[in-house]
Amino acid sequence: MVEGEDDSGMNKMKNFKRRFSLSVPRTETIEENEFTEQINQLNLRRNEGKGTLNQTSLISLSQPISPSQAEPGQLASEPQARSPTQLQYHNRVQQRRFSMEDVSKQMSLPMDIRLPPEILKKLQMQSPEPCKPLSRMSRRASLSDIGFGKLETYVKLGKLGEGTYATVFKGRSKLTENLVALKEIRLEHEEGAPCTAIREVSLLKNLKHANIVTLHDIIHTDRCLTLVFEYLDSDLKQYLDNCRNIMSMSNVKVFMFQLLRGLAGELKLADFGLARAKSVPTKTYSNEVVTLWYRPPDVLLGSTEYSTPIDMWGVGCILYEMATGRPLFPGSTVKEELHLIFRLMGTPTEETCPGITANEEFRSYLFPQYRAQALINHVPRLDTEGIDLLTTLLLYDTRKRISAEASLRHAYFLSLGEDIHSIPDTASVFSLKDIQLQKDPGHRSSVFHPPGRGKNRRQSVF
Amino acid sequence: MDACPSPEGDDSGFEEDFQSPSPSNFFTIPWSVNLNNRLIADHHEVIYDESCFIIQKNNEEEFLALNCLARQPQITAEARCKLVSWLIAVYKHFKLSFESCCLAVNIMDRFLVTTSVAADCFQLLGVTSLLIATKHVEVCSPRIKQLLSLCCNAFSKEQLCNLECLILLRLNFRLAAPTLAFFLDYLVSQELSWHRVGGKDDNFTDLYEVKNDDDWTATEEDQLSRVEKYKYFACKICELSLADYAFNKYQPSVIVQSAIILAKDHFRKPASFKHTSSSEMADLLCTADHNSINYSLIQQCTEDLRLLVSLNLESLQDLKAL
Repeated sequence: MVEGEDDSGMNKMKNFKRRFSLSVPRTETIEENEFTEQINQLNLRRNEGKGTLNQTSLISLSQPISPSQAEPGQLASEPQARSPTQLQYHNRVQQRRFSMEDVSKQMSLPMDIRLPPEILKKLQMQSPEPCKPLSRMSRRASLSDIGFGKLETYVKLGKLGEGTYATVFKGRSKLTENLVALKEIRLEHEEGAPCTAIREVSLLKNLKHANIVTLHDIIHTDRCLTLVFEYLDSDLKQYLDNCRNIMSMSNVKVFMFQLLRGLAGELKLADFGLARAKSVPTKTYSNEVVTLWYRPPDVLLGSTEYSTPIDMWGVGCILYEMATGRPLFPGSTVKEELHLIFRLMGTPTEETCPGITANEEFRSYLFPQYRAQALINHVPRLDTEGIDLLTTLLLYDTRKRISAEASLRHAYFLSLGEDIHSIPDTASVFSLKDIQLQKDPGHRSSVFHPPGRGKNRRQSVF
Repeated sequence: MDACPSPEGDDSGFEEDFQSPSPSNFFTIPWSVNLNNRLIADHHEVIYDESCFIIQKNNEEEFLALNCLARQPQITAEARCKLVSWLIAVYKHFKLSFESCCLAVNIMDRFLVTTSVAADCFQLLGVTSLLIATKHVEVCSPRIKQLLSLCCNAFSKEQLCNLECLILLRLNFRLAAPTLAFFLDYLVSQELSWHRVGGKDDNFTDLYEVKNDDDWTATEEDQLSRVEKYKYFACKICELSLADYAFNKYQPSVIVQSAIILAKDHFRKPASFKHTSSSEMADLLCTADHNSINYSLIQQCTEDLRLLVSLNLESLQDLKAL
């Protein structure tokens, strides 16, 4: 890693770096002795009884491989690139040996964990000179001392769910006494670490927003990776089930606002580092079928351009689902999905969807010419502004489809007040006094405690 | 960009974890608005693509693996060159994206910064990095078995899986590195959309074309095929630069800009032959940051690449036919 020099350009870059990365790979040499010891222990633990790769010294195999056996260049149908600096290299080669200490010093612990305010306070109190900021090293050591990155810190309370790659447990952090969700990902699979796990961790590391589930800690044990998330009472589906699909319309509005806040502006695929992964496959890597219910017609008809309007169609579908208690277009095949969409929204024409008549796929389906139906007849509980928002979310023309930013300013949300637009990204909308969840008409229990009213709790539906 | 507050304190990168980074500031910086004005038709997409670009551009520094061989006792620049050349052949063999290849090299280099690797494991590091990269980027990754057989089964699956875990942990799962492939796609698509709009904007000089060039009268198809050609050539140059340790010090966006400059020179009609000025190129990306630093960097990198290309002419042979 380069540390910027004192020129202002570099500093500017660094500031941006700060804004954008919640975790920077720490690869600087760690100097503190006490910390080296800790790391050596970690190293020992990792090496115990497994692995042919010896990590404390060189990564090397016990059996040297003869060059003829594993010569890179087996496939080299192309000539090898020649370097203009090749000659210099010969002279520079030095057979430097590293002590075990050198190498183990280079290890670093995950740094992108977030300390809860209580712990921060505690750390500040322990600091001998409260005015002086803790050095990076002492803070890092403290973090591990107080139990971050350690499985013992979390108590498993019960299983919440199980998937192909991961099991999710409800848990409690001994540090904060907060409830957490522990997602255990098994790294041993036929094809090594599952790509879903690799992506999930890599993406979540870059995200911090009140309406996106927060990753608190990552623990690596033997052959398992445990992600520690904030604990959410339920997702939208469970929530809907729980209120027997009859949600208070005022809650629908609050949830909609939260969803759009999560999508607005700062949440782009680029944040996930997937700026160029533009294909939207119908099947996942593991060949599971991805739900089609929230896909816009442009994607169903083969568009591979990922941009934000794609998400906005899905938001429209969710608004409908919250207001009516049932999914809007529950198709099980691409054709059925398109059929359901066209039957309600009208078969697209050159006027409603420029370029559609030239779309080969669309033409091949030979859909009947449906006329658009009035949405109000299908979502009677939604008010006029809500119907208008829904209509602009479900436009065929991606250029006319409303954006997340614009929809936050839609008349539908006027009743939430003006203050809701000025709260910081990381604060919940429930930090405003006026924003409260209402009792849902269909809710099973007699008293409904709106979640997320605690000081440090965030509310998120998704 | 000056509007962004500069967090005080040391460089630990830790206290900012408690602040609320507000990336939204990014999308309102003046020059991004300026660029957006160019296109009306694909407005949504432009804002989107561009915010991706700004984010990637600003992440570059953080993902550089400077001097990754400096503390390696056994791995030499030649070994790296050999391995990367092999990886390039492998990614083509599996018909993977250039993105995967670039990311694999970045993963490998950043791992080399953290850990010493013995020469006999270097190839294993190469394929494992490629596997991780494809898991991050591709819809389908090659099978471990296939990868191992390309190494003549010199390594076991267990070894590969162990190394995979180790790489992920050492890199702290930070895999979203900006790559040559991303900047190449972005800069070329910028140019294509520019041609589609088909006009000049006073606020935005076309940086790729020499002004008063007859090319402006060329048909759209000609333009497209020209762009395709030099994109292909620029991609070849980028591939070469991946394999050469001398380019490890440059940010991917700098290499791509330099490669595009070279590719353009290559396809320019001999009569109107003239080097594209690096300063024009530099303007495109650096309006908002340290202009002069980047300008000289691009110049230097262009010269290095020119040398690299001249040394590797035979591998670029097929391009001469273009």
